[in-house]
This record gives sequence, C-alpha cells and structure tokens, in this order.
Amino acid sequence: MTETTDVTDPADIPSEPSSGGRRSGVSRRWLAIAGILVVVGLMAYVFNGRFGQDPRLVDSPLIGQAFPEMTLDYLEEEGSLDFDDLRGEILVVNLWASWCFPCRAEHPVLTAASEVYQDRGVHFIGIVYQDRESAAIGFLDQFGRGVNYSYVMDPDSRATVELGVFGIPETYFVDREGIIRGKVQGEVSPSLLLATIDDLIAGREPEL
Amino acid sequence: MAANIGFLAIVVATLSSVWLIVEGYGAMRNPEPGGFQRLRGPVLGIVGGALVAMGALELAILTDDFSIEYVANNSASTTPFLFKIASGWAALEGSILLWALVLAGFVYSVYRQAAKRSDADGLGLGALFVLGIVSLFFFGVMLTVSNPFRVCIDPAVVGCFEAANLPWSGALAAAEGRGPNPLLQNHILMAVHPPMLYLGYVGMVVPFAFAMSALLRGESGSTWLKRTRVWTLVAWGFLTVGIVLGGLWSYEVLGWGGYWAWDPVENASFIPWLTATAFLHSSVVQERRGMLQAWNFVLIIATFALTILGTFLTRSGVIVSVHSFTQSAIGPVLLWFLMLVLVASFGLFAARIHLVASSPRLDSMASREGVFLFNNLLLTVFAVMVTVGTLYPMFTEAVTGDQVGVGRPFFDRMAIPLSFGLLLAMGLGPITPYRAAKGSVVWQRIRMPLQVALAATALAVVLGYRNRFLLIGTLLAVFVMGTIVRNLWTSARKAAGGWEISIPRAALRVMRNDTGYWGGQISHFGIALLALGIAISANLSVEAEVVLVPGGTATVAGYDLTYVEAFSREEPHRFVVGAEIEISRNGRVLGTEEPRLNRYGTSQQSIATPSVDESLTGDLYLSLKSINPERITLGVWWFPFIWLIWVGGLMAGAAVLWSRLVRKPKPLKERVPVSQGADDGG
Amino acid sequence: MAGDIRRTATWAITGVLAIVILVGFVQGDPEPEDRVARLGSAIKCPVCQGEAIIDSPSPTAEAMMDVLEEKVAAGETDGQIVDYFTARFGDGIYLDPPFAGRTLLVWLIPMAAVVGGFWMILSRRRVAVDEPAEAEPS
Repeated sequence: MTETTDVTDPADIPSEPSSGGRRSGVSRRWLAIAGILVVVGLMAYVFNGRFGQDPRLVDSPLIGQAFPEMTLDYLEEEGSLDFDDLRGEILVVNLWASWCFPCRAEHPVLTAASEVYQDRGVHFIGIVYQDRESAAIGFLDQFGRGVNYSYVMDPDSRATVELGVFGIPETYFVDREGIIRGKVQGEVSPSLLLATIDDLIAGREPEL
Repeated sequence: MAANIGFLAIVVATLSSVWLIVEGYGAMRNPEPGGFQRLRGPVLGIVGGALVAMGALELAILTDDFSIEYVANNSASTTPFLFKIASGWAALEGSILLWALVLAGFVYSVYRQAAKRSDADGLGLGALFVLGIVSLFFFGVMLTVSNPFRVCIDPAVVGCFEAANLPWSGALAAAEGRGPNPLLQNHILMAVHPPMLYLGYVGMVVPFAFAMSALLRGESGSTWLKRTRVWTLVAWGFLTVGIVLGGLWSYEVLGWGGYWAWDPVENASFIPWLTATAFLHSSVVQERRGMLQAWNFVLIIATFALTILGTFLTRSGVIVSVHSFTQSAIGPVLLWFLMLVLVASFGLFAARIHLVASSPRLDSMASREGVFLFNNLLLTVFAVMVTVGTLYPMFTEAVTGDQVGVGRPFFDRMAIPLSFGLLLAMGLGPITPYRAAKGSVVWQRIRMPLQVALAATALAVVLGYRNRFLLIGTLLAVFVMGTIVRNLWTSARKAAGGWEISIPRAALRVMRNDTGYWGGQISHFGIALLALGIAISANLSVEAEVVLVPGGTATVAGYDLTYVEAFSREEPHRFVVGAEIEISRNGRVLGTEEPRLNRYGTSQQSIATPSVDESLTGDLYLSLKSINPERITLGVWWFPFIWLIWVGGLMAGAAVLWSRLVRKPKPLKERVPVSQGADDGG
Repeated sequence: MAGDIRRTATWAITGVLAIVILVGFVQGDPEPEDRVARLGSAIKCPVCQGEAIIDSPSPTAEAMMDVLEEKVAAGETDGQIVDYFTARFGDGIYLDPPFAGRTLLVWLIPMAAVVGGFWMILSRRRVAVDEPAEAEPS
C-alpha cells in the first residue's frame, strides 16, 4: 500500500486547505452543526419510543396462523393433551413457571377468569415452562387451580419453540377454528383478559 | 444510619460540583498563578463525598442493612464477602456510584497536576470547570433517579417492594435480601472487571475536559494533548484490560464456550475503545507533525460521547441483554445528558473551528503519518460499523415498526477484513519513517519479517490447515511480531556495538530510552498475539455434545472423558450439583474436572459453571447442560491456544505501564547510538 | 559471490513458501461446511437477546438447536429453516441481515464510511510542496 501510493500527496482527513480556509471554514462549521443536529434528532426519535414500553397485546407473526399441532403430557395425571381435540373451544394458553414472579401475580387473574367462563366454551391451558415438576405442582398447591384448566408440561421446550415464546409469562388466545388471534407478553391484566375472551366469543377480532 | 450518611455525602458532592463549576468558571476566565487554590474546597468536597458514599454503601452491604432498598434487592446475608463487596457496583445505582467515584478520582488527579504548576494555568482550570459539569450530572442523578440510598418502606419477606428516595422517610428493613444476580456472583472476575472498565471508560473524561477547555479558551495547538497524554494512556490501558477481562469472565462463567458475542453491551465498551485507540494514534501525529488538529477534537468528543452512549445503552433498559439492568427512570436522563454533551461540545467545536482548522498537509501517503491516517480510517470505520450494527434494530423498529436482527454474522463479516487491514497498518506503520518514506528503506525493514511470516503460514499449510482466515490471520500476526522483533534486534545490535554491552542489555536500554515508542510496540505485540489467538481458536476449535451414563466414556479431540459420578452439595448461598469427569489421553489419566450447575437462593434456574482444563496447547472446556442420576449431557469444546487471547490482550493493555513507569536509563559513557526505531518513534 | 548465492537461495525459498501458501489458499477448506454452526450463530436466542442460540445455555436455545439439527439432517434449505424460525419469532430473530431491503443500510453505511474516508484523504492532496520532503528525518 505504501509502495503504490507514492505519487499522490493526499492531505490529512479533517483539515482545511491552508489557503482560503476562511470561506470553507464557515461552510464546514454549518456542516458540523447540521450533522450533529441530525444525529441528536435521530437519537431522540429512536430512543424516545423505547422508554416505559409496556407491551400487552403484541404483534406476533403467529397471529392469524393455526395453532401448532402438539401433544403435551399432563402435569398431574396420566395421559396427554392433544390440542386438536380442543377444536371448537376457545383456548387461553398461558406459559408459566413457579420461579416466575409475574406469573405468581397473574395466576389469580387466570384462575378467576377460568371460573367466570367455565360454561361458555372457553378452555384454559397452562403450559409449564422450564420448571421442575415438583416445583410446578407445589405452586398450584399453594396458589390454587382453575376450573376447566389443563396443566401440561413441555419438558424439552419444543412447545416453547413452536409458539415463539420470548419470555414468560406469555398468553395466547385461540379461536374456535384453532387460529391464534392474540398474544400477550408479560402479565395479563383482568380487563385485557376478559375483553379479549369476550371478543373471541362474539367472533370479533381482538383489538391490538 | 448508613443511608443518612451516604445520602448526605452525595448531597455534599453535588453541592461541591456546583461550587467547582462556579469557581472553575471564574478561575478560567481570569487565570492567575495559584488560581487553583480556590478550587481546593470543591475538589475535596467531591472526592470526600464520593468516598464516603461508596464507603457507606459497602458498609451497609457488609452489615446486611436491608432497610436500604439497594442492599435488600442486591445482596443477601449469605452472600460471600467478596461478592458482597462486588454487589456495591453490580447493580444500577451502585454502578453509577462507582462511575462517580472514579470520576472524583480523576478530578482529584487533574487538580493535583494543576496545583503543581506555577504559571497561570487557564487550561487546567477550564478542564476542572468542565469536570465540574460532568460530576454535577452524575451526583445529581444519584440524588434523584438513581439513588443508591433509597430506603425500603414496603419490605417483602425477601427483598424490598417499594422504597422512598429520602433516607429519613421511616425505613422498614426486609428480613432477608434477594442476593446478587446469579450470573454476577458466579465468578471472582465480576469483582474486578467493572472497576477496570470504569477506570478506562471514565478516564476518557480527562482528555475531553482539556479539549473543551482548550476550545473554550480559544487555544489551538497541542498543549491539551500533551497535558492529557498520561490520562489518555492510562484510561486506554484500563479499558483494554477491562474488555479482555470481560471476555474472560464470559468464557469462564457463561458456559457457552465463547468470549465475545457482539452483545450490545460488549459493543458499548468496544466502540469507545476503537475511537480512543484512533485518538491515541492521531494525537501522536499532531504532536509530531502538527497535523489532524481538528480531527483530534472530533475523536475525543466522540470517545467521551460514546462512553455516555454506552452507559445509556447498558443502564437504561432500551436493550435487553445479560448486562442490562431493568428499565428505570435513569434512561431518559442519560439520553438528555448525551444529547447535551453532543450539542454543547460539537457546537463549541463548530464555533471555534477557525482556530483549529489549518494544519500542515501530508507529504506522502507512504510515510508514518500516511499509515496513521490509514489506521485512523480503519478504526473509525470499525467504530461506525459496530455502532450502526448495534443501533440498527432499534432504528428500524422506531421508523417502520419492523423488527430486524443484526448479530454475529454481520459483525464477523465486517470485522475480519477491517482487522486484517489494521494488522497490516500495525506491521508497516512503526517502521515507516515520517514525512516521506523511500521504498527501499521500508522494504529492507519488512523483508525479514515477511519471510518469517511466509514460513509460518507455509508451515500451517503443510500441516494441513486450509482455513483462509486462519492463513491470512497467521501471516499478518506473525508479520507484525516479526517487524517488532527485527526492529528491536537491529537497534540493540547497533547499540551494543556503540556501548560495548551485550545485546540483551542493549535491547533493554533501547526500550527504556524511548518508552513511548516501545510501550506502543509491546502493545502491538500483544494485539498481534491476541489476533493470532482469535484466528487459531476460532477456526480450529472442536465442539461436541456428549451424553454419558456413569462409567461411560466419550472421546473428543483426542481426550477420553469418563463420567465417574454425580455429586451435590448445599452451600450457604447456593445449591450445587455437578459431575466428576475423568480426563485421560492415550490411556494416561490427566486429572478430573467438575463442571457444575449452581442454583442461587430463591431462583429456580440453574447457572452452569464450566470447568476448564488449561494447558499450553489449549483448553478443554466442559460445560454441564443437564444432569440426572442416570445420565448427563455435556458440552465439550477444545480451544487450541486460546490463552494467547488473554495473554495478548492483557499485554496490550499493560504495555501502558512501560510507557509511564519505566525510567530512562542513565547515559553510558560511550557514544550515543542511533537506534533505528526509536529515532523516529512516538 | 557467496553473497549472491545466498541471496538467490533466500529468494528461491521465499518464492517456494509463497507458492505453498497460495496453493493452500486456493485449495480452501476441504472440510464440509458446518451448516448447524453457521445457522446456529445466525439465529438469536429469544430469551437472552444478546446471544445466538448456539452460544446460549438456556433451555429454549437448546431446544431450538435441536430443531435446527433435525432440519439440517432432514435436508431443508437455509431459507426453509430460517423461515421456520422467523414465522414463529419474527424477523428480528435472524441475525444475518440480508444485503437488501430494509437491512441494506446497515451494510451500506460502513461501506460509505470507507469510501468517504478515502475520498477525504485523497481529495485533499498537497498542491504545492512548500518544504522539501526528506527521506528520513531524524
């Protein structure tokens, strides 16, 4: 490199021409100011939207897709649950674990909702996410179980991959045709949970 | 009690910062000999406040004072002593306090240097004024959105739910603390890596403050550069060591068999390192040749702003990664400060651009300064690339709402050619004369190193290695080392003749005669070793996942691994399960390793602690993936010569010591020899 | 005379070394490409967000690696495999931004920086040399 560029006499990167520096100094000054304003404005724009984000119903590529086919073993009884058998029911699929603090907070909301909707064709499913069986059962013993609420396991995390889980708690809403209609990341609030289920019962598109 | 004292100390430091700004401004406007005397009070206030605050926090942690929210949520009574100490900076508020403490240390050292001068030191006084502004920000943040001494008003059984900002709000102590983040209490490096990194990160504030002072006072010239050279070098050294230790921590703790993942937080420390490295080199060009004056201002402003950006990225929760703390009120505040820094410093720079604009031109690209320009171009592009790659997903999400991913494949593909270019510049630069180099002179100096590098690479080919990155990496790294060794050898031989002493002694004298130049060469040698280590370990590593039953054996990379038995033990702060693995090679037992899974306190998730069998030829790295009585799943890696990375990286950083601590030797009686590297070195 | 022979020999050896390297370089890596490793380092671990699935010890990442291995073994193309994951986790999961569309800029900006930097250096050549350049100042 040093051998081949012998003939050129380039100058250093940022400096002025040594003569006539005045005029170009002025234009350079405005260039610098404009540049920094663009950078600062862009940063404010990009980052400002990221503070205090509180995602509830989130966008997911799975929405509008069929709920993946899978069969998961029950947590507390023999046998396994085939999601295909639940076609025709509205499903609320929640992923949880005993070590997850927000799950603890949303647990009574889910069990209460399962009681409210027990006669309206809504089935709740709790998939245990990366937890020990004993710890998960202990959690249910302590905090109670829902009605019409199946607790199933996902020991090799395959369901987690199929459902595109980012971090628990996550909750999916599935309509009677087996199509995923909504996804909540983080703790569900009672109002959001009830509103979304009501939308599905009425056959409406849940509001994002 | 500790909360009251600590909070009061922060109040004192904040008020002292205001005082420093006021007095510093006055002293800068009318500098007079001894003007720094007026700043003694505020400087001591800042230093004392920061020290007392950190002391109070550490004391509270050590005495398990769970009435302080920070202690209740980040430490536990069972946490071992060293990790309690490290808890003082392992979480958000404590890390800001550490920032401020390190900053206070630098304020003091600048004050000490200014106080030794007998002239009217307007530049130093102005720098203290600028430092006052920065420290006002950090202490002010601790009084408001990131107060480490918030007291708990709603304690949980373990930890604290809600806290109040003012320490006299009637604290209620939690019964037990939550303990540190499991990942952060798994290895002792966690106690060392953050302070190192912060010393480097925060140290960049000193050259920045002097640069701002020079602009405020309308001083162009290189005085600010020369005055701050010590701090720049020391900060760079700490930053280098901090980053390397971070990689080592990741390698030893995270159990994924790697040391660098281009994680946004790693990038946040790496980007200012790149610009700081560019600054180190371009400041030499300015000092020696008067060039690049404006560029040096741009680089140091960018470096300081990037440290703030890094702090923002890590501490605000805008990105989620291993290092990020949860979302907190500090995010917007740091963002505002960053924008203020950018607007104020570049605005000032633009206003004074006519003062720094004209500088001598480059005579020829084939010269030391030409290679320096090439190096600066590459380092700047590198920094731009990492910055863009890190922020791009956030950018598209804000603009279009789309999510895109930018990760290792992108960074690797970009970083590899840039690194090769930098190695080339590293080989050529230090042996190329200033102004204009004759081809024959350069050729004479690189011929031998080039032949050695060719021989080493050809050997690799003959041994059967065909990986192109490995071959180019080896060629360039050996070339760099070759030029350095040849340079030292020829200089020493000439000197030995002149002084009539042995060549090793002469070499040492040559290196001590120009510590600046040779410190840089030691650093380059370290970087070349590091590059070689990366090239070898990344391209020749072996990875396997094996499932073993008790007594079963698997063979990976020539090693036989036998699963002897499982073990478990209860420790005060964690529960450990692990597997005893016997390692043998060709029937000879080499030892046993114990990869483990640790579970901390109330957390249910296990943290793997890999075990690493280190040897001169490489590391056998075992990480337990799952364990039950009947079988284990074990991740096994073989990393050849990975120690080159740690040794090289630490050498590169520690080389600063040679530049700063080694004294010039007393002159010998004989004629002074002309050493070839040192004469035009910088 | 002896010096000449030595010099010729040195050059011959250097030339042979260069040829050996060139041959090795042209031959390239004979080992088949490890698709699992390449794709595994290009798919983000969704629960860690800093790391690729090949790097993460988390159960989710391990499960995704298992899926990946099965799909590679079943002979699916890169596109099919990437589509499988992005259909579940969104496009943000794929860490290798294509040189097209909305990720074009992330490639172009650094490249533009290289070109711009070189242009800045080369466009400001010294017109008149005001002092003679010495070959080797000291």
